Amino acid sequence: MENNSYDAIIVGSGPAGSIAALCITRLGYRVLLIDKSDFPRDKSCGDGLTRTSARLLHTLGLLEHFSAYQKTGGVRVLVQDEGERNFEYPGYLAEPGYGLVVPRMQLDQILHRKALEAGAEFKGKTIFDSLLYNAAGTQVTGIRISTREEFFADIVIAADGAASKIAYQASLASTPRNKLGFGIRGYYENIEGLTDKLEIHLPILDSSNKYVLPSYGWVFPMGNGKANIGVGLIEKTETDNIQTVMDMFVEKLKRTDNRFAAMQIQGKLFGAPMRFDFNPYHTFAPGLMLTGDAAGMISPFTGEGIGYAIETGTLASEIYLEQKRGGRDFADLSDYGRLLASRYQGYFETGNTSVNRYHLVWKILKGTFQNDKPLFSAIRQSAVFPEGIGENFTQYYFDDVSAYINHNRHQLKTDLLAVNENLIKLTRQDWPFLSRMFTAAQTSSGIPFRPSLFLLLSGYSARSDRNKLVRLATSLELGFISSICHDSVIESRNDSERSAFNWGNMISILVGDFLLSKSFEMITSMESVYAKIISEAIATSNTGLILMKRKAETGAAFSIAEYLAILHQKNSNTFALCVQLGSVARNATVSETNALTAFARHFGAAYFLVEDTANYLHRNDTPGANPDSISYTGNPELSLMHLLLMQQGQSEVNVNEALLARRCCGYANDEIQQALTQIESLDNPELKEMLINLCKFISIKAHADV
Amino acid sequence: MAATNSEWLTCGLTKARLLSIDDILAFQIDSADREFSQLVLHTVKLGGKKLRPTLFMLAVKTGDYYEKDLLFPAAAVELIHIASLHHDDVMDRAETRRNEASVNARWGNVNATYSGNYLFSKAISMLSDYNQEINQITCQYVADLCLGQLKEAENAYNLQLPVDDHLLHIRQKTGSLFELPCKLGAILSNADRYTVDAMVSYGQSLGIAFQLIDDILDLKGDPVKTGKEIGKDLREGVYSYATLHALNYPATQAELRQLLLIEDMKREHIDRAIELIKSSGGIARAREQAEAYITEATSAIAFLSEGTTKQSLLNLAAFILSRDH
Repeated sequence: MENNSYDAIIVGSGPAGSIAALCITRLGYRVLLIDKSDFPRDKSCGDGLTRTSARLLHTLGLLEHFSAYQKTGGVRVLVQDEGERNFEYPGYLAEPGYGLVVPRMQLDQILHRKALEAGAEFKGKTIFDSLLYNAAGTQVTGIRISTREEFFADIVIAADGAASKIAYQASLASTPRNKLGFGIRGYYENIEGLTDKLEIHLPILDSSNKYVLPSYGWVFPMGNGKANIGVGLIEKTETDNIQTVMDMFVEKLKRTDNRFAAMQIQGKLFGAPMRFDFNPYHTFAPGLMLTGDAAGMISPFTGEGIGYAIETGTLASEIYLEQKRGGRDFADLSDYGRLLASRYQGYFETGNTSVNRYHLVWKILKGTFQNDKPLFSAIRQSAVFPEGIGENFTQYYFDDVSAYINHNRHQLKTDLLAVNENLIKLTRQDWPFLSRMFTAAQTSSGIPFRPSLFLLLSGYSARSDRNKLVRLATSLELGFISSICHDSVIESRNDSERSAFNWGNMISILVGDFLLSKSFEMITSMESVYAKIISEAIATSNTGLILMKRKAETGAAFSIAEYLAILHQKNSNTFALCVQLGSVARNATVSETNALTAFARHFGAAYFLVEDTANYLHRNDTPGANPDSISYTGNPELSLMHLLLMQQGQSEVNVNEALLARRCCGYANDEIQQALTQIESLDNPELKEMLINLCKFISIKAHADV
Repeated sequence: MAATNSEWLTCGLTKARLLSIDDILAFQIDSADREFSQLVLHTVKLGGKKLRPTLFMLAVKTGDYYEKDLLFPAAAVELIHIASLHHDDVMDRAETRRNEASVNARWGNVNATYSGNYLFSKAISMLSDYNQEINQITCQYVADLCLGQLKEAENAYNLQLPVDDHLLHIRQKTGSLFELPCKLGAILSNADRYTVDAMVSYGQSLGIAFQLIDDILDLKGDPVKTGKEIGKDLREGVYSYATLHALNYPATQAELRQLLLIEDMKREHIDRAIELIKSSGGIARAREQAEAYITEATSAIAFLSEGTTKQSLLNLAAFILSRDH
């Protein structure tokens, strides 16, 4: 009996299992690792490791073992009829700044060997039979293998792949077995002109060329003209089998893309089932955790899974450690589910198992492929891109201002988190990619520069009702995100666009309207004064938006004074609104409320002048930007830069953009000075100090970005 | 164009009062900038049936309280409806509205989106002066409306959409703005609880029937009258009652499925799909369904005492079934 007892039993020695085994063994615990094969063994997979995967390997001290393999610098997405776009890993994130392509034969062998070197005990060619439970049948206590031998442990970690016997036995997998997806790949050589990008090809059509299949194709470069090429089908179709789909994909590559004209397969095609039904709350049971593919963690638009496997292997080991050191009994592992929920909210659900949902997301992706407005970046990010790419939205949206906030920091963070939780609750079920945008803010450790920050800062007092402030802030954020969605509406450029269905506009309006209505639903549950303030503010900013657009369209007869007046309506008004709501909520005096509101108006103008100018200067820097793409910053034609250029005559060749940008910053600085004047006599030293600090933030931002 | 639909509204006083709604709206949203006013008031000035304010005014008459300023909430409800039209026209790429250029056709998609937001916010602002409870109820219905539209879009191309879900979506997206004025009017006139519930039920059934008929017209209406290309919804993956029926009907199921899944449906595919829907009896079933809702609506208000209010509500129900555009 003694010898059959371990601290942890891990079933499956792919990346998730080996990593979990390695981590737990390294902590000094006794681990049994079993696998149905001996190692090395081959596995069907795209072999692509995202940059996040590489970073995880780096953190675990394992990256050095992979120096010989092909490094990748991003993802290239090719969409039929819409062209192709390159999405590069942004340079500002921590090292390593690249992804990898490592054949699973080698990847799994290396990770497996590391786990064994660390001291994990391994049984190869060992078939898992069933889970063992305690007497009450409430908690997993071990496993039985096909030879009827039994092993016991604190915990069982399932890493037994998409068709996970354990997940099904524990009723944690929701895809019927006959509905499992399937992936197939081959190694090909003699390919010319491969870059360092992982290629995703969408869509895959069926054999009649009429129907889009819920599927994707990939070409992952391995160096020396070799590539791993394959297709994944999300659900079995009635008419096409995976082999046909693969043949057609390869044939089409050869026929339509010169690079593949002479390619040849090396060895045989190899396939494996896939499951896409990840649900964070179905990844654990008493004494049991699921990891990687066994937890259904495969991205439905790209097939990405290795990164999630490595990460969940690590996370499972952390949860194990927490339980063990805390002297707990491994019965309640819900922390694991919560951790996965916050980490992956919005990545998987968008495509999910539903083929019908796939079609919707596909239409949106295709319809907005060249559109970089924030809403569509967010959708693309959650649907197509492995983590680590397309993070421009997060970066654009949330400046970290923690350095400028000296007071109430703890309280602020708590309340901002509460706002976020409200937002996620309101959107999680229906529009997970939106909740992804919110969680991006939540996981960053700083204090994000966002509307609710101002509301909370101006609303705090010794007697303030924080719960009320959080509700006001939630309503405000909903209105703000709604405006981002509405800003994603674009004009039809010609007659055919005018009559063609436009998924982008449709989704922008529907989601924007939905969020706006939620904002109002929340605010009208409170005293009428708040609804009055917020509705008038939204009316004013939409007035400003219309006026600015009309002015920009009519061109020259537009003075800078007029521009600034409309800017105050269009944008600064948002800041004024935040401060006004906060001040009213804490019953500030009328004169203080007015002073703060005026401050916010000028402050907001300064912020937008800097922001618009920076966006104008960097208008072509967006990852994957091309002349046809629609900038995520939206409206360069509405910026002061644009107005100044117009006044100088656009035809001038030698327009000095840098000089004009400095003039814009000059105007921003004037606004800051006016803002500071407003709060000179403010009798609230802490708030005053913070506001002055935030003005510094604008100046520094102006220097850094412009 | 007549400000109200005189065929069914038999109450002269209500008809007269409704005439002032346009003035109230023009006054509320007037701006110093002439072109801005023109843009945001464009749809208001086109007039229209004023179905929703009329429902509101009729609902007011089921209670025992009347004051002139109740025209404000009536106007606000109309404003919300107009705001939603601005957005709908962008999504539907509608070139005209009430025989004139639509806001999006004239000022562009972006301005139509902003002006819709403007009008909606103005409506809420008007209601904020009035009464918190009324405002809250209004926003809950608007949220339902948006959710219904979103759910419908989310189920685009869903060949397995259950009919009950579809009915829920149209109740939310269309029923909401029928139900809302009925509820607000009854509450504001201090009608008793039974009457409020009856009016809500009337409005809801009326709204669902209205949409069912609308969707039938999309499949078999006269494009000249409806101003819509026949079967456009099929290409866009929006499946109405009749289509869902045919998708569950053994003789048409398989072929219709294949047609609807075609990535870019051509005219001949749409025509064939409509043929299949007709042959499955889908359109007749949708019509029966609409009739059943109208019966529900009329029986909900059967208890009202006879008079012009009840007669108008009954007329309206009949009118909705007889619509051909």
